[in-house]
Amino acid sequence: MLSVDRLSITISKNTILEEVSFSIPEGATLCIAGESGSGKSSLLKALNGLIPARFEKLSFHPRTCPAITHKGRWQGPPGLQQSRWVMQDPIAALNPRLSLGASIGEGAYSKRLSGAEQDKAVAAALDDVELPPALATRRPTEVSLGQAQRACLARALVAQPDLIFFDEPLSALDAIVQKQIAATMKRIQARYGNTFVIVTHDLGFAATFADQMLVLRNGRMEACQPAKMFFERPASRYCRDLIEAARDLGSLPQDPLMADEGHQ
Amino acid sequence: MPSEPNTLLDLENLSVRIGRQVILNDVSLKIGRGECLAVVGGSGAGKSTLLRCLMGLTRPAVPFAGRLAFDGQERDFSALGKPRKPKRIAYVPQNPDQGFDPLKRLLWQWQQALRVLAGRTNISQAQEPLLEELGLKPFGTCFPYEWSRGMQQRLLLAMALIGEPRLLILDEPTSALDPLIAAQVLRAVMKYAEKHDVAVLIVTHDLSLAARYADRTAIMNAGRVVEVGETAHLLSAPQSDYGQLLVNHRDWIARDFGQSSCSIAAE
Amino acid sequence: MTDFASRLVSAVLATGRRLSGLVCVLLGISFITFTMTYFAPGDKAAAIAHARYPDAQGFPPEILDGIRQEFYLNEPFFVQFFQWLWRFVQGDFGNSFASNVPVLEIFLANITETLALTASSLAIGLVAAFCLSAISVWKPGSLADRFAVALASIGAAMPNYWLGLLLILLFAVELNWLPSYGTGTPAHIVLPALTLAFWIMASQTRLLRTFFLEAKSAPYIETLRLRGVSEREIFWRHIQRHAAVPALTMIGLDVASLLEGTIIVELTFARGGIGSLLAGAVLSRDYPLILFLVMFFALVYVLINSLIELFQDALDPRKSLELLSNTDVGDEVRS
Repeated sequence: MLSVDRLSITISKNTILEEVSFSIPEGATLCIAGESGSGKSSLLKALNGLIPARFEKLSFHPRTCPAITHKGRWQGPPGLQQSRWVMQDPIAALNPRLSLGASIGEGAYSKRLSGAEQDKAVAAALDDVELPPALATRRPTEVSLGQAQRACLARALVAQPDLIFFDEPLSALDAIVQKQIAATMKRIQARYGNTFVIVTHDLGFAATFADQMLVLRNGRMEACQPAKMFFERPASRYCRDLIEAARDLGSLPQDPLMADEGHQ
Repeated sequence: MPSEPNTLLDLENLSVRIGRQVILNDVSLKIGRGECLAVVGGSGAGKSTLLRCLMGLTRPAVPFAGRLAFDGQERDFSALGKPRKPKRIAYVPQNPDQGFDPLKRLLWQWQQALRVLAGRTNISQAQEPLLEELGLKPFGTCFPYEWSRGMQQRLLLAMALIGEPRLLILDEPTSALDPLIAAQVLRAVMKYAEKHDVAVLIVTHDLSLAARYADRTAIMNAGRVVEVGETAHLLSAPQSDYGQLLVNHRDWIARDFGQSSCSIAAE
Repeated sequence: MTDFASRLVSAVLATGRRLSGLVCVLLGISFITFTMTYFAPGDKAAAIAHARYPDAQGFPPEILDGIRQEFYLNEPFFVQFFQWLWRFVQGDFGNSFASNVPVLEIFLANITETLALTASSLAIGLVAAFCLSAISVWKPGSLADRFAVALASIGAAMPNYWLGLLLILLFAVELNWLPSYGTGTPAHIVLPALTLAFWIMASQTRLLRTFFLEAKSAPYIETLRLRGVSEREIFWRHIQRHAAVPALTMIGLDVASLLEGTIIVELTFARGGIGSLLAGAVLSRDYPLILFLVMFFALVYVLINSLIELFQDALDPRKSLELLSNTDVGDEVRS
C-alpha cells in the first residue's frame, strides 16, 4: 500500500530524519514508536507533504513517486486524496463553531457530494464510529473527549480513505476510553480494510494493533520489524528498554508468557 | 476519633463543591505509613480536586464537610482559600513544564526549594546526597530547557523530596511523559520510598499502572470513592460496576476486540 | 561548536539583521518625508532668501537663482533628494528658514526640555501603572481591580489636551498651587508631566494587568504554591519576570506615542521643547527643521524598539535557542 525508501528530512541544516524505510501491505497497520523529538510526527508530516523531504522512492498504491534527492518542496504523495489524518487532541482538531455533523461532512468535501448524499455519508460514518446520530448537532465542547475523538475518526472515515494516519490518537484520553476507541478502530479496519499508520508512544496499544513496528530514535531508524518479532526479539538494546519501560508502566503485561493467562 | 498509629493520612467524609456543583461527595481515604495507594478514575472523577485538598490548596473549590488528619495531627479545611504549608506532603507535577519556571536557572530554583522546604540557605549543591541518589549532574548555569526532560523530571522529584516528606503525591505520572522517562522516574520513586519508608499516592486514570505499583487502590467515579481495597483483591473481584468496567479495560494485550460490552456507557 | 560560541554567533547575526532593517526603515522614512516637503506649496528659494536677509522687502531674481543653484532647487527630484540625504548623513542639516540659525543648534537648545518632560512622565506613568496593575491582579474581580480598570479606561478615553486643560483649571486657576504655562522652575514641569503620565498609566495598566494574569495562570505557578512558596515571592520573583517580556514591547510602542503626546502637551502648556518646535516649524513651513525633527523622531522610535527586542532576547533565554535548532536533546543519563 505504502512503501518508503530512504526518506530523510533536513530543516535548515538540522537533520530531523535520516534514511527511514518501510513498507506496509494493504489493510495492515504500521505503528511508529519513539520518544518525543525522535521524528515521529515529522515523518507523518513529510508523508502528507507538509514539510519537505528527500527520498529514493515513495510509492502509494497504485502510483509511485519518482525519487526526490535534491532540496525542494515536495507537494505530498500522489495519493494524498485517499488518505486522512486523525490528530491527538480532538478539541484542537475540530472547529469549535461547527456541529460535529458539519465537521464530519467537511471530511467528504473532496467527494463533491450532494446535500442528501453527504447527510447519508455522515450518518454512516457516525454509525461506524459507534456514535449515536443525535450527537451530529452538538458542538465539540458539548460532548466528551472520547466522543470528540470518535467524531474525528468519523471525519476521516467519511471520505472512505485507503490510508488513515493517526498521530497519538489515544494519549489524551482515559484508560477505559482508550481501549474502547481502539476496539472501534479494529472493527473499522476489519470492515473496510483501511491501512493504518499510527504514531504512538504506548507500546501496549501498539502491541494490540501493529503488524509492523517502526521505532525511531533521534531521527534514526532503531528498528523496523514485524510486530510479533519486535516484542519477542527486539532488534536493539534501546527497543528492549522501551519494552521494559512499557512493562513497568503496566502497559504491557509483566511477562510475555503471561499474556494469555493474565486475562481470564 | 483517634486513628490507628500506622495510619499516616486519614481523610474522612470530605465533600467539596465549586459554586453549586458538588465535586467531591463524602470521600474517605486512609493511607498507611510506607504504603503505596493509587487513586484511579476517569476525567471528571474529582481526582485533581481531591489532590488539591490534600495539599492544602482549595481554591476555587470549597470544602464544606470532612476532616483530615495527617501524621496524627488534625488539619483544618476551614482556612478557606489560604494555601497552607504542605509540611511532609510533597508533590511531583505531571511534567517539567508544570514544575519549572522556564526563565529561572535550575540552581536558583533548587535553592528556592531548599529555602522554602528545608529552611536552608547557602548550600553548595555539590554535596547534595539527594541529587547523587537520583543520578543528577551539577546544574552549572543551565536553564530548565537545557536539560533533557527525563533529567528535569528527576530533578522535580528531588525537589519534592527536599522536605523529607512522609507522603509523596504523583499526579498522572505517565500521561504527559515519554514512557522511558515515566518508568525511570517511577523506579526512582519506588526505590526511594522503600529505602526511606515514604508513603506514595499515585493519582492516575490507568488501572494497569496501579496494578503494577499500588498496595491498595481506590477507585473514584463522579466525585465518590466507589471502591477501595487491596489491589490484587480488587483486580480479581471488583465490587462496583465502575470497578468492573476498569478491570475489563485494564490490559491492552489479549483483549477481545470483537465485542463491545459497555462501550458507550463509560464515556 | 561550543554552546557559548554558537550563542554568540546567533546573537551577532540577529543584531546585524536588526541593524540592516533599521537602516532600511530610516531610508524609507527620509524618502517619504522629503517627498512631502518637496511637493509642498510655496517657493523655497524665497523662504531661504527671507531667512538670510530678514530686513529685505523683495528679492531680485539673481539672488533667488543663486539660492536655487546652491540648494539644487532646479535639479530633478531624485538629485535633490540624494543631495539632501548626502548632506544629512554627513551631519550638515542646513539652516532654519525662519531664523537662518543651524537646525542642530535650535534642536540642542530645545531637547533638554523635552527629555525632562518625557523622562519624568514615563517614570511616573510606569510606576503608577505597575502599582495599579499589581493591586488589581492580586485579587482579580475585587473592588481594587475594578477601580484600576475603570481608571485606566478613563485615562485611555481622555485626550491629552483636555486633561491638560482640566489640570490647569484645577491646580493653576482654582488652587493656584502650580504655574499654568512656561518653563523655568521644577514646578513648571509638574502639570505637563502629570498629563502625559496619566495617559501612560492608563494604557500600560490595562496591558500589564493582562500580562500579569497570563503569567499567573502558567501551570508551574500552581506547583510553586504547592511547594509552599509564598504568594509574595511568586509575584515578585516569577509572575513579574514573565510579564516583563511582553510588557517591554508595549512600553516601546508607548514611547513612540509619547513623542506625539509631547507635541500636544508642550503646546497646551506653552512650553519649549521639540514638540512645540515641530509644531512651529510646520506652521512656518521651515522645511529643514521639519525634516530634521521628523528624522529624529523616526530614529528614536526605531532605536528604542530595536533595543527592546535585544533586551527581550536577554530576558528570555529560550528565544536564542529556538534560533539555533528545533531538535530535542536526547536523554543523556539514564539510571
